[in-house]
Amino acid sequence: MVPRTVFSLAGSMYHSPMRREILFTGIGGQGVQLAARTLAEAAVADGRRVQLFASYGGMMRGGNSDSFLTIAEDPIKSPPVLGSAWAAVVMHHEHAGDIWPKLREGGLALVNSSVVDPASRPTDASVEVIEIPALDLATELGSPIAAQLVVLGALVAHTGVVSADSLVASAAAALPSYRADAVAVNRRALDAGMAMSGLTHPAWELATA
Amino acid sequence: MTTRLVEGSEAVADAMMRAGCRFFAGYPMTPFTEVLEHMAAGLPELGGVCVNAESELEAVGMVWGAAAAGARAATGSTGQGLSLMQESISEASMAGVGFVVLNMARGQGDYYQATRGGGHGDYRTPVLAPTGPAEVAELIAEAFDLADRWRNPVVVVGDYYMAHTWVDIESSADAPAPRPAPGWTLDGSSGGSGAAKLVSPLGTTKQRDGVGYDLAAHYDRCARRRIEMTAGITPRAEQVRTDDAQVVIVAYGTMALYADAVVNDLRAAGHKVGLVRPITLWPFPEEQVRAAAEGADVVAVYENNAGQMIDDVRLSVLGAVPVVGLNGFSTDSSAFGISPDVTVENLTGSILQLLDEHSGDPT
Repeated sequence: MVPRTVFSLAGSMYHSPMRREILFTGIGGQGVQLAARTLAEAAVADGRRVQLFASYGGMMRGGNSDSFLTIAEDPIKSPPVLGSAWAAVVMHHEHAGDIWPKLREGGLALVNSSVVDPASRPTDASVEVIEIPALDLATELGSPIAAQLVVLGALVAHTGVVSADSLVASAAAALPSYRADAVAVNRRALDAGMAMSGLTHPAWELATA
Repeated sequence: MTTRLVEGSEAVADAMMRAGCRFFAGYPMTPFTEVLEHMAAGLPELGGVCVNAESELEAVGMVWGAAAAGARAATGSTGQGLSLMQESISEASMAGVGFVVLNMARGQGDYYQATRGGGHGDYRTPVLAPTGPAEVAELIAEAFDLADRWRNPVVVVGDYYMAHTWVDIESSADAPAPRPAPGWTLDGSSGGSGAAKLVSPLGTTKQRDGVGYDLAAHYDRCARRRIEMTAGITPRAEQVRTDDAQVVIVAYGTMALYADAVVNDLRAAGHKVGLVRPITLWPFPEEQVRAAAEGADVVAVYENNAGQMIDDVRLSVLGAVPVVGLNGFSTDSSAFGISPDVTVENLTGSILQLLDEHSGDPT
């Protein structure tokens, strides 16, 4: 018997510029599923391949709400629940404990700092944390339930993982007709996020971004 | 063609309609319900029929009736509903009526039900287990072709993860026209007209004296057709890095996607691990499993049940290599086959442990 081999998922061959995995975590009611679907639809509109799996508790509010999104330039072969990821959108700390160790070296974490406990942060010091007071900003804009769209806007501004045009279009299309009155404020939330930064962590080679 | 983001169950429904399925019947049960909903939404526009039956018993009865009348037809459920359908599946096999049965399973507890069946008589059903939207489309089309070719029910196995994972698929508003009705199918000609046809689990002709079926001759024909079908379907499996693997994982369906990720990660770290993913569960890819196991230290069967496919793997390896089961995982509170233990991290740990345990073995 030899000692257990030390192994880190950071060596994953899936850490490829052709493939970007994004984890979403929060609690029911924060719009985590809507945010993940919105980003997935935008990626499809950009012509990329997409796989999205959701895991959420059977309660209207407060249960875990997680999504696992892969966006790629080639066909995706991936388990539904990802083992490692390039970026995370963390809306709440309650269920973030499983997310932090999945972020690869040099990864990116966008944190809803209005809500997330400052003690809940990535385990790997090389992961860059972008603190976004998303709930405060969305509340100022008149719609606290649009906080996740501020974070989504910021993710797209920092990375260009989807195009801004596709993001704006998919956010509007994601709402059912009886929520049509929310399209305008949701757009302001996305814009607030997108205005927070320029492209700091390009998701794709610039030629194809 | 446009690209759309759809739930896996819609990708399954889309593939069936594209394969020419024009009659579908079922009874709702998670995670099959959404397939039924998408068939109900899509079939009428194509001139097809979808029925929300009173139960799975009626659904499969309607479907083999539709198939006997020449339609490409399908039904489905989870394993629970398929339990109710077993009698019709075996009778349809004896009658030489082909259709597709989806098992949108909860976990992988229905492996034995799918590959052996619970009906009476000397019948088997081909079983296909796709992963990913491209293979779902390919194998569902193949399932209908096999059902036509062998005039036998064909099972396609999915699961909760497949049904609820969103994927991008290419689709267009119209689907190809269905194939014409085969010549043997019923066309309304009545007895005495000289054009009447007979479709029955008891026989396809009456005896000349008109006093009933020759059951012995019919069962003999059925057995010969089954033997021919078994030999006529090429077992399929995907091999991932099995060449010099010390540990060979065998896994199908969603479990194979976890195993695939683990094999790629561990190979990148220099560990000799490989995967065989059976694509046909019946006929089982015995030769591919046997060949992959040759030279390996251990074969690990990763399945989301308490150990079922492991028996087919043992039959393939025939004692040449130790076969261990990585199974018996817990399920989450939904009981829909989602296991919190099924993760890349846990499987990585299990495989590293197997590598450690077998590292001293002569190879």
